[in-house]
Amino acid sequence: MHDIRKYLVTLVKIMAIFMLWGSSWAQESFQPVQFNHDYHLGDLGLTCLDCHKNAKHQERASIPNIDICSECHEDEFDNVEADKVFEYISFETAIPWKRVHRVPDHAYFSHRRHVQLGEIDCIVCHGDVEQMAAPFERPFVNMDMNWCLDCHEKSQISDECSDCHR
Amino acid sequence: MDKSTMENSNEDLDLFRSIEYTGNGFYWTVGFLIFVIAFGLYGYFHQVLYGLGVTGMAQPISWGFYIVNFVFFIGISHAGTLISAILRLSQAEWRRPITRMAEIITAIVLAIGGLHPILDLGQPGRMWNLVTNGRLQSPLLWDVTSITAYFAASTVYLYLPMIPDIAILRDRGVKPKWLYQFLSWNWQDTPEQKRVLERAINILMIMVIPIAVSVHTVISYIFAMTIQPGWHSTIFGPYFVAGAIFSGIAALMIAMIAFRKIFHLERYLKLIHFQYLSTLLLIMSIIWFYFTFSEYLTTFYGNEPDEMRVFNYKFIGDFAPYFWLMVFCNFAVPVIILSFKKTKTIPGILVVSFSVLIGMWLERLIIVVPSLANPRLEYPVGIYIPTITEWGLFAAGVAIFILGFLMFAKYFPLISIWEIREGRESSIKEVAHRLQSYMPDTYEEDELERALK
Amino acid sequence: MQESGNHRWGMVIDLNKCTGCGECVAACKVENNVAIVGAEESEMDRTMFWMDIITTHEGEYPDTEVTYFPRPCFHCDNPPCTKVCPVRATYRNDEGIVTQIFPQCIGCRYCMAACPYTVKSFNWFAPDWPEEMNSSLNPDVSVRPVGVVEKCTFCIHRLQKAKELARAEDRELREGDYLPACSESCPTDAISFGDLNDPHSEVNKLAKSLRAFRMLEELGTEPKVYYLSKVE
Repeated sequence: MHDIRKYLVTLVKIMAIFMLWGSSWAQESFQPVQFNHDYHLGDLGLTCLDCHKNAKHQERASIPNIDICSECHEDEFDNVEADKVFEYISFETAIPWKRVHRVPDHAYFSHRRHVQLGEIDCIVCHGDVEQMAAPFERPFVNMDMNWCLDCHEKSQISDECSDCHR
Repeated sequence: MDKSTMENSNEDLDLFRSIEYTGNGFYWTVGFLIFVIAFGLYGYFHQVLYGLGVTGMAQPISWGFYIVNFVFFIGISHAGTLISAILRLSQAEWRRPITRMAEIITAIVLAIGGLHPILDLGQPGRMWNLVTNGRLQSPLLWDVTSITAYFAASTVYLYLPMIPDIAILRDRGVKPKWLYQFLSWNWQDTPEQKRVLERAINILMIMVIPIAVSVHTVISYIFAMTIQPGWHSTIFGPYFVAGAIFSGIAALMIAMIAFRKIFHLERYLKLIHFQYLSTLLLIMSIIWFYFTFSEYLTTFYGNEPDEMRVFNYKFIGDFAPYFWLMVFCNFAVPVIILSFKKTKTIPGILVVSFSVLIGMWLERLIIVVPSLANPRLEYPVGIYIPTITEWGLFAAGVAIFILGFLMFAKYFPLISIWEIREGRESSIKEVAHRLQSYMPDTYEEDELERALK
Repeated sequence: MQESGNHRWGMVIDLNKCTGCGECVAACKVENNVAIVGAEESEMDRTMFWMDIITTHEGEYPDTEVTYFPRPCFHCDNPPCTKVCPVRATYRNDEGIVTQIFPQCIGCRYCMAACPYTVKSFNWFAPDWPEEMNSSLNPDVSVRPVGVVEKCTFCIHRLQKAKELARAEDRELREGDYLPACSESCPTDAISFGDLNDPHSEVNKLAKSLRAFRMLEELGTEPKVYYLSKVE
């Protein structure tokens, strides 16, 4: 009986260690900089297109990097994350953002088609970015074909395979 | 059990031997077969891992052994249910020891053959697309449909007449008891049960014939629906069905001869059974030749250049050895051996059966490959050399068939016991009565009444 | 979205102009990320071309007449390949392009067997590029996985982009907005491409020329690639 209790205690300890290790691993930030959308959009009053400059007129929306950041981050701010950005800028190295929103290469997705021609708001696919204090770790929605077709059907847009697949 | 059936069950002891007695040979054979199957499976995993490139297929010969074997195995599956149903329907009394074996062959080979197109898929993981996005306009979907229907119908058609036999095994206390208990479905041999069973068999037997014919017709449509030279032919449907029955009978006779030899069933599978079946085989051989002749004569006489390239490839080109070997195996051998009483013996029939199987396999090869090897546009002629993976999977297919047959024989009687008993007890009277009714000087009862009025 | 169905894309190849240089073949391979198979595979007849050149010889040496037929997919109006596809992985769209939907293909190769022109290729192995070449792949075209069938798509990705650009600029699609890589790259302008439905387009005029013929026309597949026969 006593042995079993001892055994259980050890097991719990091992599990606790694993859980601690696991949680610390998860806490390690996914993106290089804890970019705060909430602050930039809400407090500073920027718009999505100010930084994601190609979202309206190009296929790819573009993830902003130091050339855009440096327009404002000319000096150090009183913020750890901002300092990181400044460091990247001063060393002239690109911030290694991890791309989160990705459509498979056999599908043709164009931001221009959706933002400019389709007049769809950014939040429809990317969520309420204005409320997000941390950068994306995973896509806002699971971008599979059913999700695409859902919207295409609702808005009576073509569901021809060859309009998107290639 | 009453006294007479007791006596009979003693008489039919031979039929239980395969179930109740297991020799060393059985284990050795099973072990060997499993080895062959494992080898084939290894090849398949290799193929899934690296792609279909591990086979010998290429451009333009994009179909090879898998499709050939698919057509071949499905062809053999016609042995069974179709022959059994036709014999039952025509009340051929000599069918009794044969039908069960024929039906088993169908069920097992159909499962193997039906899996072959999956071996041939480049993306087997996407197979589900056939259900979610299937296009019924594609002959491949016709195949999926009719093979599934045929498999369902023929397994039921195999199982139903087995119920009384399973009940006999259950009553004898054969192990595993739960299996026979479960499968016998509380069969008590009551007249009501017999009536229901007979009705079910009669309905199925009639249903199964058109399904069986459709299966091989539809397989031929895979080829015939395209506009490729050598394939685009209207007689492909019946040609394939005839070939299927032909190879089916051959496979059935090989199984019968092997089984009879191993379990000493000479009393049940008599020379007369083989002679009747081999007469059927001889007829099918001649029908096969007739179809082949019509098929190639039309091509030759029409003399269309694209068709002629394929024709010449078969008759005098790269495939000539196979083509003429096929004609020899499928026509010369059966006709010569089976026409003479002196050679129409069990060994002779065995030789013919093997020869027909080889010939019919070659026929499938000769249909699939040459048309692909000779594209219409000016490309060089393609070559196809199957690899060890393809041979391995072919061997595994045959091994699965033998293993399935053995395992079946291990648990169920391969010769229908109750039908033999029924034949012994009541059919002789019935047949005598039937024969009498054919005669001019007897009346059917209702006819008599009508005549009197 | 786009006004589909008004167009019927087609190609006219002038055999008089074609020198058989192979530029179209190379351009096509690069544009469409067509896999490069090794020497060993090539030996086994597994080379992949979306655009190929068929060479025919007529007459006895030294009076031989050599003709080069650049051979894309013919994008038949009555395609034998799409009819037999069990999963609708290949079909003819409203504008006459016979497309391949790669993620849908189960790799049964029935379409390859049914195509009288043998234009389709199969990915026998997963495509494999040298490390350095990975960054030079065209991002507009998918890299096909192992076990699917592929063929010329008339560079449909270019059509998708051209249509979008035209709409963004609020105008109709103009002739020349959409050209496949082969047509664009041909140094002798032997390959013209355009809308066969447009009465003013170059291809429409050329296709009506007395020299125009189509490959294996007698099969009734109605190909949309015309050849202009050689004249002295």
